[in-house]
Amino acid sequence: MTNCYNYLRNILCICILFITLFRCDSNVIGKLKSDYEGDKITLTGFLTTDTILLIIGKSTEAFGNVSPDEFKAKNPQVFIESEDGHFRHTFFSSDGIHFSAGKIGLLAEKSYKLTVTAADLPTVETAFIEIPENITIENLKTIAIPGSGRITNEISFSIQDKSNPNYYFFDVGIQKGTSQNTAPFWVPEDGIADNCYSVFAFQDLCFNGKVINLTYRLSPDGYFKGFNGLQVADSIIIRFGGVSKEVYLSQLAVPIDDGFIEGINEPPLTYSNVKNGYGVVFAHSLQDYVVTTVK
Amino acid sequence: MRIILIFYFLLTLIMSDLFSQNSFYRLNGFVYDFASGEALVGATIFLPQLSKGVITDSYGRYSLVFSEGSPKQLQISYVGYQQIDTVLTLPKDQNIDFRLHVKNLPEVEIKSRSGNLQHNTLQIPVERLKAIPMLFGQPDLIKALSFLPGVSTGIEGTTGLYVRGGTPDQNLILLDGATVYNASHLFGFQSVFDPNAIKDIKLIKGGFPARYGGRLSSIIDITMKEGNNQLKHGEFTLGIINSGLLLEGPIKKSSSSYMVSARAAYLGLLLLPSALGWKKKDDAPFNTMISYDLNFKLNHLFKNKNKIFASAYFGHDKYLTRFRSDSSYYRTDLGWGNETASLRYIHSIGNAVHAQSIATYNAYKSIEYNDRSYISGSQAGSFLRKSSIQDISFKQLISSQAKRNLKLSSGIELLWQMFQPSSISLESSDFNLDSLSRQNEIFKPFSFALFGEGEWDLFTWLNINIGLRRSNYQVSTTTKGFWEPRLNINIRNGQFSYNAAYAFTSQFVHLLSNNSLGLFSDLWVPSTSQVAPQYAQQYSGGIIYRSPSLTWEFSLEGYYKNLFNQIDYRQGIDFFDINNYNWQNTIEQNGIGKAKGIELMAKRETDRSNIWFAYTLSDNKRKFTNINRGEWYPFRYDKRHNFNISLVRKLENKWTFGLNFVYQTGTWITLKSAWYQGEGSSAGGLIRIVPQPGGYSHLTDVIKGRNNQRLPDYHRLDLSFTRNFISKKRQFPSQLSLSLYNAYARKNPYVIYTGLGTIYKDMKIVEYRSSISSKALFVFIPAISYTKKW
Repeated sequence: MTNCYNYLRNILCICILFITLFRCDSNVIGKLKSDYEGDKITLTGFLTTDTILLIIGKSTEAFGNVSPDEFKAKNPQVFIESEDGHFRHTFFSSDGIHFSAGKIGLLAEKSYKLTVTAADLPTVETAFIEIPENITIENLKTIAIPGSGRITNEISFSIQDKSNPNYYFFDVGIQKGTSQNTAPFWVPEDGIADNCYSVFAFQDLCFNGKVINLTYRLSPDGYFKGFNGLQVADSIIIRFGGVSKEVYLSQLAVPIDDGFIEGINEPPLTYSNVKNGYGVVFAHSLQDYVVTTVK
Repeated sequence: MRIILIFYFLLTLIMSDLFSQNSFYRLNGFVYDFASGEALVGATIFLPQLSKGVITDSYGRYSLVFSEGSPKQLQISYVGYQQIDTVLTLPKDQNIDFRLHVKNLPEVEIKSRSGNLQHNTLQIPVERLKAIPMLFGQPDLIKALSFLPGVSTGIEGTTGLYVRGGTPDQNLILLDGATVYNASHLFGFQSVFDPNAIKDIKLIKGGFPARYGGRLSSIIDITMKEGNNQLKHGEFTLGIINSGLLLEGPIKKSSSSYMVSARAAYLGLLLLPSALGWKKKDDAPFNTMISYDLNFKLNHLFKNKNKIFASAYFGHDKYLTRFRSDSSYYRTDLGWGNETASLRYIHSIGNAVHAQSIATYNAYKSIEYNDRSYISGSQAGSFLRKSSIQDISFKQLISSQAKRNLKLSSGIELLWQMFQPSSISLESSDFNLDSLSRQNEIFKPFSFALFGEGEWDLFTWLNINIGLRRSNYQVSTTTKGFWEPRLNINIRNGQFSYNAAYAFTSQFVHLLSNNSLGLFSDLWVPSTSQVAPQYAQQYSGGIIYRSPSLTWEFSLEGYYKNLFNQIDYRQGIDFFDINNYNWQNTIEQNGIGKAKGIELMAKRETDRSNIWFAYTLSDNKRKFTNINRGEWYPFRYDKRHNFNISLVRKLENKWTFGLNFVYQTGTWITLKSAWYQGEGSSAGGLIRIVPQPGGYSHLTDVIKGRNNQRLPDYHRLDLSFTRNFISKKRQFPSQLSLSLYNAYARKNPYVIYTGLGTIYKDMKIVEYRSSISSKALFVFIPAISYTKKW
């Protein structure tokens, strides 16, 4: 019995000690047993009828300290070929970035595949990527929407969709002088940002083969280099056109936040169309349209 | 509907008439606690000559049939009580009640006994479950169930149960027959059931009898205490976060009694530092949290042995937070709670047919209110979101010992529901969002079920329970229904008992949640024309061995479960985004699941100690077309190994020692497995790609699969010491409990954080640092509580 009391007394002393020290404690987990499959070539970029931009790199295992050099692939080499076999070309890139501008022979409505090799890394290749045809927009107009005291413009235009599956991209920027701002405040209205259309990429499931009118409202004000405070833009830049399906599919996999609290948001899987590697290569036929802000 | 009701009542009359004509002798009655008059659930009435026995139902009632009236030896027993041995001669049908005395070992008490193992069912006496050391020293019957095989919890300290690969919403939690939708208090750290008010808890995890339905994975059937019908009795408990009061006594001695219990939890004490800070500093937030439970029960025993019970439960949580900035004052109020009421009448139709009629009402409501006003006093805006579900049900069950070896039961259930998954009203001086009113959709489904089952002792060693349940559901113009066959085969062979079972189950409600916290943000939603009801098939089998002295018991059970029409949030959905106004557009549907496992349990029981070892080996996975590229992925709380030890041992005459050890494989989590430089995940970013001389600064995470990594394994040890104080006159006994939760201060991950840092040198990036860290919520928690009885 005495031993029991002594034991309890010790326990009580420990309790008091820990009550004073009680706190929520952080602990760095370190490496978990992960599904990492080794370093791979990463490939990001796009094709148009007159441009090829490719950024080639190397992946490393998540979590840890990495210098920028560890993300570089050694002696990368790119081979591009068309699905019909009429186009074949090889590029070399010492710094992992390849940029070609001007007529290089890529055609709209044709598909191309990229194969990339690099020292000490497994070869990767993309699926065939189709370059969309140019999209003609009609009835482009901008009107001012009266209301809250803040200038609001509504942009509208129409397109004729073709019957085959098509993917589009829509984005806006604003400009004052020579300074651009790509993220103005926008208000989702009407067709934009519901199940059928969204800002950025959307598909034509809801209007396949029809003429579709798109409207978009924004407050064309923001911060510009060389100007102090919030400024109303001189002009609005609309970027619109056809994109390959990779742009749309990658948008579906956008994580809400890079750092997340477990249990609140479930992060989506990263989209990639690079076999044996990571990254997204897509094609587009985007064009920029500039309209004057209606004040 | 009318045809079904007419058919059912005709069937009742036919059964009562038919079976009362048989030339059998029936022995019916109840088994009670002698001192309190409380009916004993699960007491055994055993006939040694026939090697046969029955156990009392949730009302303490039993029924036996004999083919001839020769003298019969009977043994009536219940754990912790003195056994009655008697011999009865039955010249005619008789009703006999038995009253058992508690064994004269007050210090050992019944808490050292844990009842016999059963196939597919866990029924541990409440006193034994209360002896398991728990968080904050507060006994928790729901969490205690997670120390048994086939059952686990999700996040540490929370009450959501995952039974044989199911999810918390797939457990039908019944409190005196009324459904409890959210069984969590204090963000899940405590269940809503006050252990002092509970008489019995039973968890059925497979081989469901046809009388149970409406959920896929388990039935948790909880019965409130009826109240002492002999003497007035009271009990007061004072603990770190909880205080409770129980009062019970006779209204009319031996025939009617009452029970009232109240419990309050005040987590605000743990948040006291923030309250003090709130007074001192204007910009410090203030948080507080309270919850309470109220239980009421009345019962009356009529002279003809019929009984009526009326019970009610009210429980609510309130979480308040206040914050003040330079210009504005912020206020957030969260509240959620359950209300249940049930009226039950158990009666006999002749000597042959027993009936139960149950009418219930239950509601679960949650409210979130946010308000912002300027320091000047003007209103900036407010946001109010409500969610509610209300049920009214009527159940009728009849059962009859049709033959000496055949018991038939049938019943009907009618259920009217009203769901309002999310109702939002918003006021703002900045902008107006009338479109949010689209969320205020109300669903009023009606469902009914009709079932019949037969329990047949084909031989003395073979028992078969076969049943069929028809569940129908209607919401607006959509009607859905399932035929649900059930089969349960038991074979007895000496000390061994074998079981094989099959159950088809369906469920017409879903819970939209991705956690087990029981948060206000969890939405209970009905099946609709767009959202199909979920259903499951479960196959199970097992062996139980009892040593001849009944000191040791072993069980080995296995299960295989297929789940259909599962739902989950769509990838990338922000659960707190008010723009997700139509929940039906935010979910992935038609998911399937597979769960399988092996459960082992060993139990040793003596007068001085009770110990059990429980181990579950399991595999649990899900598949959705639009999640994880349509491939199978592990369910988040798929815990491959789950091992528990629970010990209660009497140290000295007045001391009891409790120990609990838990080891579980870590839960799954979705994390990046690789990363690289380059814009690879955002459509907007992709389009804006421009080559940058000297490298590319944007980093892209590669997440290859849902739940692709396991967190570190979870384990902890809890200890408790309980001292019983009994005066010489044996009046006013009291109890002092000391407990240590997580005694060796294991830092089990509770919240996971990922972080990224960039190191510059001479304006150039020289290193990226990506880390993952966790926060352990409960490192070491001592607790003390004191209980006084009178």
